[in-house]
Amino acid sequence: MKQASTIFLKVVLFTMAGAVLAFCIFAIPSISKGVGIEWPDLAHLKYPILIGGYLTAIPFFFALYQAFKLLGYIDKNTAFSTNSVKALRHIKYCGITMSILYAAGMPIIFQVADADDAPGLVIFGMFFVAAPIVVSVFAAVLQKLLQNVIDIKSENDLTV
Amino acid sequence: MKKAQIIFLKLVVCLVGVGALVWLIRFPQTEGRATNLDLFSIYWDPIILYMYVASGAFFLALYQAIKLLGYIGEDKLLSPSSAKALRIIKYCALAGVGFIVVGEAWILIANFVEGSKEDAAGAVAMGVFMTFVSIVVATVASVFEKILQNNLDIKSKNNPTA
Repeated sequence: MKQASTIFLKVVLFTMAGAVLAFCIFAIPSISKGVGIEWPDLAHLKYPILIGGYLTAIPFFFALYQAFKLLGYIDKNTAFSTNSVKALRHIKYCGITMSILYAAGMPIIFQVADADDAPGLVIFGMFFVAAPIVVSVFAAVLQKLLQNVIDIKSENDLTV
Repeated sequence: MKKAQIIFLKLVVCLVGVGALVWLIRFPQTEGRATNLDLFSIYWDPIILYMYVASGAFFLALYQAIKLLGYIGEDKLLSPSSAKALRIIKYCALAGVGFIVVGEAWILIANFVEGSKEDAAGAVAMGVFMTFVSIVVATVASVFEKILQNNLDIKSKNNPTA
């Protein structure tokens, strides 16, 4: 049962990775090209959108890989190990990096939203800034909990 | 530091709850059929009432998540009560799946019986996505619950010998 649930979660991670990969391959180049065609005066944003899009994908894939590793540790019943603490720490840093990158990209979104007269786009962008922060705070709490348990465990080992 | 993080996560959960509540209240008013109806008739619709009942599972899960964060803040994560909170979250997610599947079937059958030309593809796609999310939440909750239960078992095994 436990095996089945972690396998399912691994499949979910793969699905997410596949969706984002497809977005990187098909959507981001089209968006970058389309902005230049739709609003010629925003053509200078073409490359920032392209580079920014791919740049934010890197920490995302890295975080997915760390989550995958974490599921592996859970499978092997070694969830309470320094390895999982490390994976959680990496996820935390990935979340922070993504937030910063999206926040840095907000001026681009402001300009496109202005040109498109679509203020909803700004809220969408803010969601992308906020969501990784939530993930990284959650990862930080889990990391601390795990560290506590490991500390207690090693204390017990010493007394025995 | 840890306290601040937990308060932040609690705020996020509250924000999600308030957002869902606002959407639940606003959404029926923005529907096309609401234009010629008084305030009571807007909400007095089987599908909308069903939606409100189903949202109960969602809000119960959010409440359990806040409770769980409270246990973490009090350093009582390794306790039967947090395992219980996780179990309730799991059941809420599974109930959510059931509610969505029944709701989708209802919409599709109603469309079919009325011979409506209206395309329910959007509603079905959203239902499929929400079902997917609910199943993932249920699985994550059950994995956490099992890890917790394992540690509780180890703990209680250790205690008699101590």
